[in-house]
Amino acid sequence: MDTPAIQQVVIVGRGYTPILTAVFLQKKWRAAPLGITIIQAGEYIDPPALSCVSSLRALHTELGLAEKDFVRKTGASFHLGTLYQFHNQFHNQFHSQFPNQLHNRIDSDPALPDFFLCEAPYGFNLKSIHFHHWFHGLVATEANARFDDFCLNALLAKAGRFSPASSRSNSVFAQVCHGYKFLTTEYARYLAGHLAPDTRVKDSRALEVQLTAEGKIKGAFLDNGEWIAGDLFIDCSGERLLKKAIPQVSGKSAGPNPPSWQEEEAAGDSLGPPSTSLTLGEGLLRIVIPLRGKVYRQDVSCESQSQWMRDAAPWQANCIALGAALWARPPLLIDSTHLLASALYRLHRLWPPTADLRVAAGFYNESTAEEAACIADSDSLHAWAAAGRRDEYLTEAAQHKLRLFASDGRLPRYDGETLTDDQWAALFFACGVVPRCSDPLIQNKDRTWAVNELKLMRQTLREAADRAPLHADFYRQQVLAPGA
Amino acid sequence: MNEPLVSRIVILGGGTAGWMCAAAVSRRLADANLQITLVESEQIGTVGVGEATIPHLRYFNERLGLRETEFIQATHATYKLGIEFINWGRLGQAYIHPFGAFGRPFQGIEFHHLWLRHQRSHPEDSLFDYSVPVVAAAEGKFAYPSTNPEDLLAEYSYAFHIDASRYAAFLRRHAEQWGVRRVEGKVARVQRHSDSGDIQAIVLEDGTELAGDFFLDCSGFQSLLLGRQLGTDFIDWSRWLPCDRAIAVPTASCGPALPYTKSTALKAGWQWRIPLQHRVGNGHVFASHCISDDEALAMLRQNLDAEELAEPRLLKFTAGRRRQSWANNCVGVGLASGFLEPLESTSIYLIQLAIMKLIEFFPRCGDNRLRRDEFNRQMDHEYERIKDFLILHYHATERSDSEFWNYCRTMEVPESLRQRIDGFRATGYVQSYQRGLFMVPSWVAVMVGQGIIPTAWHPLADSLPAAALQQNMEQLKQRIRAAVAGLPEHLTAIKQHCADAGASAEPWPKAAMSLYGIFS
Repeated sequence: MDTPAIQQVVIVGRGYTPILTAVFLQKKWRAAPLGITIIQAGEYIDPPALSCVSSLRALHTELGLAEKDFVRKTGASFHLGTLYQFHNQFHNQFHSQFPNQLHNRIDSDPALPDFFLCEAPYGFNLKSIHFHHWFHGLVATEANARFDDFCLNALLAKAGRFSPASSRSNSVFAQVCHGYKFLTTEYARYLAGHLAPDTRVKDSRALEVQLTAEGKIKGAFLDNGEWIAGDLFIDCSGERLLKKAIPQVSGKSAGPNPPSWQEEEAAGDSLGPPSTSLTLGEGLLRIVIPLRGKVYRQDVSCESQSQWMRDAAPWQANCIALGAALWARPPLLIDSTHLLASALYRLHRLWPPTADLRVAAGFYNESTAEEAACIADSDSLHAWAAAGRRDEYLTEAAQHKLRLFASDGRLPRYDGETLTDDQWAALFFACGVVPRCSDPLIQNKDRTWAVNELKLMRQTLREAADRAPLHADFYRQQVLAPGA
Repeated sequence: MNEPLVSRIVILGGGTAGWMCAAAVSRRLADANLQITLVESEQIGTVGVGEATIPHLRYFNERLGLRETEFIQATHATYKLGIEFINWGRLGQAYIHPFGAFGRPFQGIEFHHLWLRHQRSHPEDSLFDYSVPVVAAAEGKFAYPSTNPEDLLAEYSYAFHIDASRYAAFLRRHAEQWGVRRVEGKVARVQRHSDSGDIQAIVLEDGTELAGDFFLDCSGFQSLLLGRQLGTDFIDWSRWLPCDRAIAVPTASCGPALPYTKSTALKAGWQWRIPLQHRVGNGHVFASHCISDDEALAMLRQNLDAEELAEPRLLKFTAGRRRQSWANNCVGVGLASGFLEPLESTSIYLIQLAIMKLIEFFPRCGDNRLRRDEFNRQMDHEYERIKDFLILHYHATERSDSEFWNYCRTMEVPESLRQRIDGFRATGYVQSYQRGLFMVPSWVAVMVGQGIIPTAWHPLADSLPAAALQQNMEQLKQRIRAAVAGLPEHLTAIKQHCADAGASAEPWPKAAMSLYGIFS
């Protein structure tokens, strides 16, 4: 183990993904620096704007990227979650196809209400029983009770307010969980400022990849004839410039890149709300990100769902697909920065100790596949909801999860699970799936007590949300003000 | 809107499984208007040898509101910090598989990578010196883990050695207070619904008919309901776990009770030694095609260190599990649903897990297929992963001194285990999973403990200068030794904790469903 097997890493692609990958590797390997080359090749594939969950915050913290510096330099705003809106057409189909699955609240309401989805907790568990089981009892006495009324993120976002999480565990604000919205070009520029000085950054319109006899990548010629060699290659390009040079073993051909984003001027507050929106209906998912006086919109067809993961074996030979080379999915609950962070940690944990990469690659692919399967479950539920609840859109595991939740409010867990129980429960409630039975652990005598507790909980959360500053005020006072 | 709950539960069989079921269901589903009947016969003995537990049992007791010190008094329990495996990897070799992780992570990589590098230049260095519970166990010390997560003494958990029959009696007292009705009798026949095939009633030899909506089969190896009545297949794992018999015998206490279980590999199996407050449990698990019962008994006796307190008992079994733990309106709990030898003290854990899952997916009247399928999926998953871990103990050996060990060393193991061993050997990485009992620290403990030493490690471990690494490793060992030196003797701790039994405060830490600590 005197000479590390991996010393030269070549990262290919444009946008923030290759740069964040390089910054991550440089921070993690500061004690034994790697030689890193970024080849900016292929089309610029990043969406113009991103909304992300809190895992990017955690990653930044680990990389020593201060939040205030990041927000100031990129013009990012805060992100508390996504407002789900259901197209009316959806409800007609819903009623005609699934009359027996409906909860009475939905039956009596011609429109499925908007619902706020986020990664913060929904309510507080009582007597060690998950909140959503207690919520079921509240619905029995209060037909219009809203699950997201018990989520501080949702209450803040709907009121256009913002507060970061409190570090005091007994504070109700300890529940808050935030990510960011930002322009990807600004983010890439910001990250570039954190690259190690010895990072080699090359620009090339084309690559000519050379393989060894064993099918590994030896290196690539740039369009100026320069030869770039490496031990490990990371493909972040939408065209899969490296991966497509390696004979595919997975038997799966990469699907197309995701549909493009539209950009419009926005009315109102130039900062925008601390949230995004998602409209589901007519087989489409429309993601809307309001940011800095503009609105960025992407329409994604549910039909393309099977191609949202582009590669069943992301690590082949000495090449790993990340970012756009691996994923073409829209940001539904889990966004591309989360998946990238997850992949980078996985890569770090399984960094090859020897020149034989097969063990690390096998473990890496297996772990990625587990994560991807769970992501596909939640994605498929979105597609199912948007396409009039057609079961063919659901993965087998998602069908199982849905039926079990509809029956008992139970949430089966799998290896690689990415969503929290709260997120799953909220997603089901958002889609109008409400358990038919309450938890058997909830005793009859508890129900009246629980309803009162829930009402008090809701009131406490509302009052807390009302105390928080407006998003714009917080931003001005805590981010932009000199000395803030 | 709720479907009506199942209202009549019949539990077939007492013993540890039966009374754990009775206590948990009656307590956790109190006020659900359940009629719970447990039928057992004093003429049928219980297996009652599941005496070594893992930390999860603390969680079970805590959920039932059972005070830990009362439990210790009632079951004559001692504390347990791990299991010592002697002569498994090769003759003369021993290690302790602890309830805790090794060392501390370094820049996001597991500690054992640092140790692997260090060990290359210091071949005498032992990974097990970097474990608080191992050092404490070896010194005969015990204290509750610290509740300060930053503390070195926070990085372990603990379990108990118990008298299983006393535990059953302890739970019975509580269960009967919580409304469980006990019926004495033996099963004569079982009535089934003609249409669904569900069990309708158990009819006892005296003619008593115990009708129920749902049945828990705790009848042990006989699997009277799940196996015999409902015909659930048995999946035989004896090609990987060839031991099929055990002889158990209690002996008098001899010296201070150790805070760990001993498992000594013998010619055709292994011997357990479980120290309780009032006696020691012993047993010899063996493969009957390699040695006779008489020979096995003689070997057991040869290794006993005190007088026998009862006649030795012979148990016969086959390693494996029922294809479904839940079929129709019946769940098999404990031996009725499967048997994995008590090499890693998983017997009571598997009972506990089945009960917890049963409560989670508690049956209602009507269609229970969804609940049943999820219950079975989760139980299968757990059995499969424990199975691989147990096979590892037999397979990771250099022993060639008997037909038995030659077979175990050279047998084809499941592909999932093969990949894990080969991967570890080549890279030092353990492919981890999120759900399962035995996580990375346990796999590392057994593989390293039995001589699988990787030839490579995470390259970041090479980033520390050799002198700094050596200094850090030495300091960590010293800190562990110093911390353990300040702990009380094991028996002193038991006496002190039991003396506080009546106190209103709960000095013991909160329980967790984890082998490795009290925080997750």
